[in-house]
Amino acid sequence: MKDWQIVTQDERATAILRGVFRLESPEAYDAAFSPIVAGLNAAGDSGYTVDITDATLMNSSGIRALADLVLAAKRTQLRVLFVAKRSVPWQLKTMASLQSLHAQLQVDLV
Amino acid sequence: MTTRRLGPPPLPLPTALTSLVLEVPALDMVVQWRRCGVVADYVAEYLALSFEQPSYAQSVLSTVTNELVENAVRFSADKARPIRVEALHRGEVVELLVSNLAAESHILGLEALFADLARGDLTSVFRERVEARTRGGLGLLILAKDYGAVLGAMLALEQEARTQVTMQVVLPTKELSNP
Repeated sequence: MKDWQIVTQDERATAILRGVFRLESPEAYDAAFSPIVAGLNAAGDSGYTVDITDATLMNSSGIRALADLVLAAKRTQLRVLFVAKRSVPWQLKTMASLQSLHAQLQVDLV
Repeated sequence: MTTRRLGPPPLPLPTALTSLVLEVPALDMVVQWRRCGVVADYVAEYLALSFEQPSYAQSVLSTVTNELVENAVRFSADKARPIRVEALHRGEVVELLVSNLAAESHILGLEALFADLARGDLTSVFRERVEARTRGGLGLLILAKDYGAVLGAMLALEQEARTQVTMQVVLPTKELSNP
């Protein structure tokens, strides 16, 4: 039984993360995030959105996986928007960390 | 037994108001990784009742405890030996102590991490470690960078190049409320 879910919406160039993300390794995140990576690679000039507002917890392997997405977007100069909740501690803190990797990263704190 | 400490010298800490000790075989969590989170959530829920914003406190405490438990399991050199978790609310801080038996390779990784922590600019350390894809240590770095935690590691050399590692995290309780 998984306690997390990733929904990708190709037509809206959006990935939505829900639940508790405490996968056991970076490799497990590589597999889980592969649909997001595919979405990033297929995204056009309007960019790609990653909505983590319903991701209640995430371990550091997951934060590394998010950082890898940001670095990939930086390399290809793809516009990426993260939507996060200000009231969820890990989300607020992680957004600042991700912006330290890529100054042009867009973050919408709701 | 030879002992030493990584990190800053231990701070004098106030008397514990609330405390909890758990021991769980690492193997149980290797078999069912989600048990790391179950242990973290239990510790967090227990301590969070002491704070004005228990839901927020629980989220932070669960995040911090989970990183320590996952690390202890991942780097345990003897999966049959229990992981020991001690959580103490000491006035203005929460102290977490998590112990496991580790191999020499993990000790080398910890030494490199503490050398990086001592540099002080933790945002730069985070960026460098992510860009270099450095394995291990990111969770502990995040506890220091994002949660203002003071980290220490007590190392007690045992036989066959194995070391009992006790990670100490001292977390300011101001991190447990939404500003």
